[in-house]
Amino acid sequence: MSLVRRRWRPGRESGRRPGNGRDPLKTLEARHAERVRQATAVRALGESLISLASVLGTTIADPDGRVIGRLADVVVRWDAEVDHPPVTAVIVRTGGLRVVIDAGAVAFERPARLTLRSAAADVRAVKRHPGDVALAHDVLDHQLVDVNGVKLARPSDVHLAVVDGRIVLTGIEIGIGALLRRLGPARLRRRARPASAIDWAVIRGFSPARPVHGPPLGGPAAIAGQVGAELRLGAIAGEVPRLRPDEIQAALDRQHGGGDTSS
Amino acid sequence: MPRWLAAVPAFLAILGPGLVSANAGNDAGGILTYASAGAQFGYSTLFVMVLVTVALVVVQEMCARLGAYSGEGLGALIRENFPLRSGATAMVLLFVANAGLTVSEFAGIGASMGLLGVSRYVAVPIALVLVWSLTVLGDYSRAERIFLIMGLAFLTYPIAAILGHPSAGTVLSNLVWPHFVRSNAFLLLVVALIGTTITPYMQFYIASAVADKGVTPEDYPKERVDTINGAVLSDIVSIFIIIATAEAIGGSGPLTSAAQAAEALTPVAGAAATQLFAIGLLGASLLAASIVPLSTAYAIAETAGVERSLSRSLREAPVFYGLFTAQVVVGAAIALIPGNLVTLVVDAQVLNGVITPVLLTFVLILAGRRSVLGDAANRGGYRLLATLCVAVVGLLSALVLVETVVGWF
Repeated sequence: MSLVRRRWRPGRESGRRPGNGRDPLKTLEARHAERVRQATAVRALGESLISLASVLGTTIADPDGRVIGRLADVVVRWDAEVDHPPVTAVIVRTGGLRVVIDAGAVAFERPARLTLRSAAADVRAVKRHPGDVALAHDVLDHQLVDVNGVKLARPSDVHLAVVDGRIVLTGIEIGIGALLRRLGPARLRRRARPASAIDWAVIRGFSPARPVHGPPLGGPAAIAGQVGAELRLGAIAGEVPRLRPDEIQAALDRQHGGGDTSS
Repeated sequence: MPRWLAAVPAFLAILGPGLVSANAGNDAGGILTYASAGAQFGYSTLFVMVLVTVALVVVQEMCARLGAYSGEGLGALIRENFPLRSGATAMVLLFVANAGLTVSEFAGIGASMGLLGVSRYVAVPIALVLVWSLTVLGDYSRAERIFLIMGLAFLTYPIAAILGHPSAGTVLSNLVWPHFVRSNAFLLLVVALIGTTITPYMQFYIASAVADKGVTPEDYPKERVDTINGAVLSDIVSIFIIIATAEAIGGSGPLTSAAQAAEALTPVAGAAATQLFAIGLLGASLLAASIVPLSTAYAIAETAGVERSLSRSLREAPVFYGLFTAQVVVGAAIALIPGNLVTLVVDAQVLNGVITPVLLTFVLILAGRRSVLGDAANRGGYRLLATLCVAVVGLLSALVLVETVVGWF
């Protein structure tokens, strides 16, 4: 597991507008084709998209329908080599306790709830491991800064997607839309749209609110969850690439096809 | 240069967010409430001020500590630690309550210039330009010092109180021993005293300003001294305002005008009492007219997560300065509407009564959490004292809210 993300290529969004404006007709055609491709990808990804804000606090039931608790958090493991890390565990509030259940034991069910795959799921006490990022506790509503430390926004939602039965982290959503969705009544919450998110691949890691001397011990995710920890982008403000559904779909397919997916 | 004058730079060097935010509390609304207390009930409310001072010190200290240890203001901490809906409700209430207070600060500027013979239709627009340009374009810390020095005019209240030869025994016994007056008006005034001394904008401002200044846990002991000094000093001035007005016009009933509050300064300033009072009121109102909208701008920009700092330029922090600008412009505009603004200001106080218990509960929970403050979290006896302060202040604020709402029907 590498701690420093090298895969981020700053020039990636420069090829965003196809045709580059040389031939007007070609540009129009290319733009249309691009739009169709995006729309298809949005539909495809939208089908598998999970809004973290809408599943937090929902009940989790075992296969017999017995409610065992409510979803408190979703955990991924920081790995700079992986653009869209898979969810490793979920934290469930049951009675007055918080327990950890392995991600392999849970499945996502439309429209917005998790269920246990078997009644005998392994339940452990909550313990933070190095590199663990608890999405509700460490990412949602936390300060997002650009590569220079300029404060940009606070993520109002975190996007996850189901890829072949596995839940992976795809991006974070900022903006008033996600905020209003959470403030409004649960029934009226519109489904999050994939195009409104920032690709998780652009996230460099976590940094302390105040500058410290030298690199943080333990890598970019070591201070996740600390008070004042900021989520740092690998781009500058104004050039933050929005998540492109076709790219993310392709990346997810690649990631799924290339790696060992059994957990 | 006389010796006391040589001490001024030293005094100004130590002034920080603690002194500034607590002194903004001696604004128009504050002065009139303290003077009313003296005029209506003599020394009887003094024991309340002692208790309020303890509560103010405790609350301000917790907020400064949160700012220093987390590097964030209350807006940011609330968004990260509490459900989005309760945080958003608190922000909306703060925004409206602060908007009302901003109007009253500009009304205070108008009233003080009125005492100096300048029409408020001239004074308020000039004050608006002054407050805005000093905060947004200029060196804010210098502006803050100018306003604070003007506020020093209120130090004449202690002199006036002493020149009035109060009976030391009576004053002392009123300070340490509760003297209840059995009337509704007394209870309302007690709550008004608490409400005007412990106001949400002060807590938001001190936490954000401490964080903005970059105070670290290592620097915190110095900051703590500033915070406690600021709270105690501003309340000592408040106590002397009550004593001085009690001597000059005690027992005459509720105040009806700012000029009456100035009468208490006659023993020290003679014929110039009104002018001296006006300068003090002007300084405090100018200070508060920048602090109140700044606290709104900090709180909302922190909640949204955008840049918020007085060290950033207008271009770098457009939302922060935009919120500030909107609030001072609207506040000054409403203060220019002809007619009596008293009811509007009263309504703003009611909103502060709603938000104070909510905010103080947030502060108490945050300051008690080891996950937020680590070893600096509230412990043992201090925790008990803080809980008690918040409970009493919250209960009384809720009481006056009920009282006011019932009064509407």
